[in-house]
Amino acid sequence: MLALACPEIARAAPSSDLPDVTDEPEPPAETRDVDDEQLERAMTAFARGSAAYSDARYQQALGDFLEAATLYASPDFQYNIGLCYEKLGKPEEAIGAFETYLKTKRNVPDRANVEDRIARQREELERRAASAKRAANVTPPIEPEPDGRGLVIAGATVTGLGAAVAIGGGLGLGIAAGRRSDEVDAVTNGGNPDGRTFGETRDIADRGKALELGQVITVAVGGGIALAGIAMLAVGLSRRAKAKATSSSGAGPTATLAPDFGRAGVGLLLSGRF
Amino acid sequence: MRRLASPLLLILGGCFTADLDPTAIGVFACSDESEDACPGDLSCVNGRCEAPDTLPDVVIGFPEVDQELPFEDEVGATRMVNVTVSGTLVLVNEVFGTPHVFGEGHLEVVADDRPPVIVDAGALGGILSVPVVFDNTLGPHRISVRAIRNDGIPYDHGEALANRLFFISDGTTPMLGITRPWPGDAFPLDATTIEVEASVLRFALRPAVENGLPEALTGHLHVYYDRDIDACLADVGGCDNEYLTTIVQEGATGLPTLPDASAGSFPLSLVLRNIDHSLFRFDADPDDDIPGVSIIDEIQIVRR
Repeated sequence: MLALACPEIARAAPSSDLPDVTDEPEPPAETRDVDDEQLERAMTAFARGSAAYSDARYQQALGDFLEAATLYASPDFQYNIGLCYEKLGKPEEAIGAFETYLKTKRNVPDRANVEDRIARQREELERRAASAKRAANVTPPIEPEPDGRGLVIAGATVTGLGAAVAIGGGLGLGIAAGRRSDEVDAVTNGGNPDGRTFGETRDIADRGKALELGQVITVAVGGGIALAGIAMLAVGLSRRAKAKATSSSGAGPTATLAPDFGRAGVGLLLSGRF
Repeated sequence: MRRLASPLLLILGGCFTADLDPTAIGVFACSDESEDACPGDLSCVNGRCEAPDTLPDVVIGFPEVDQELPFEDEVGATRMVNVTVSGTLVLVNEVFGTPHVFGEGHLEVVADDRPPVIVDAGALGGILSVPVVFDNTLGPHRISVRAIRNDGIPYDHGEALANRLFFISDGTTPMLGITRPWPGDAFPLDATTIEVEASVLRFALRPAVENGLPEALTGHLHVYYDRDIDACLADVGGCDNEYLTTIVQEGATGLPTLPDASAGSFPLSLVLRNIDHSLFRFDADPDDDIPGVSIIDEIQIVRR
């Protein structure tokens, strides 16, 4: 005679979850003659599963209940399996187990309770499907805008290069041109102490003018490069400011440097908040 | 644009601001050896480019060219000649250390090889009469009037120097005077050909005729260089025939080639010769026993 301790199951599992089984588990018809050894093993697995369930080790409990169900085909095991799937968040499997329990159990005393569980699991399934659909309809995430760091570095480098060209070239060539100018002045206004002829003086003046032209070109080219660098720097700083504002929800200070083209001329506009 | 750029350029190190005016007067250095030393119409004077219309000049009015001043036996060894000079040089007192002002200066008047006379007062715009002492001797005499700057440096352009050859003459003696080169003219040390010109009075120049018969007061000139001419003419040194060239007609130019020389002063001598190359001697009174005199002019030129 089987002596399944269903009250023990009820004790091992949360009382509100377990079926109110006080009689022996109802065996299936074709398993009435199962041997005692196999039944003993089923009861052992059932006991382990009950203990694991009580300890909230639902995956372990599920394994034990499935083993018990394999050894002894009781509808009550299917109910416990359904409980485990419910706890493990597998509504589809839980529904299958509960429906097997209802189909195989004769005179189901807690049919309303089980049907209610099946209904809740179906709702869970629908909720998950709707959520998946919403997730599928969401636009792909926009890649965060670059923070402008590269532009800032490149802009600073180009600005420095341009400034170096403009200042270095302008300074060097300007000094050289200024010296030629001084030499010509020494001839024309200083009494020509070195006794330079007109041809020599004209050559000096020509060299001075050539140097001045080179100075203007160098300053213009260097200035242009520097302006391009400043523009890159301004764009980079602006992007960085935006990125910082986005990351900190605008809580921190921001600064923006941008080229400004107005009637009075060309300049840079520095704006920000603190 | 340039106005905007200039401050930046000045900050950066300066720029070319000088203006070169090719017409600037007295500014640019120059050299007579360079053909394009001065721009435009400027002339090279004392190593500076000057405007041609501002160059100081001097002109001798009296004595005139080849003028014969009558010999005055009674005045003694020397005589005074009132040389008249005009020009554009502004005469100023010669003060040591006075800075040079172009166009100003004083005159240096040299009679033959006498010490110079300084003239630093008066106005050359009119005619300035300068009493000059000469040796009271028959023959050619030379006067040089040179414009000198305040700082003592002679103006070196051609118009700043006036030369004049004249004669103190008895009216009968033939006379010879070298007009070119002028005493003190300098020539290079390497062999060089120079131009020799002379003024001749009362002597007709004709080409030489070998073994021709002498004609009265007719002949040509022999040009000697660096020779003791008196010894040569006496044929003591055997150099009477070592003349460099001849001048055979009035106004002609002799072109002797001077040999290589070391630096120094050398005599250049011209001698009147008969048509057959023999030495011409002028005998004012053939009836007396006094031998005739040879007609010679000699100057010193410089090799350097």
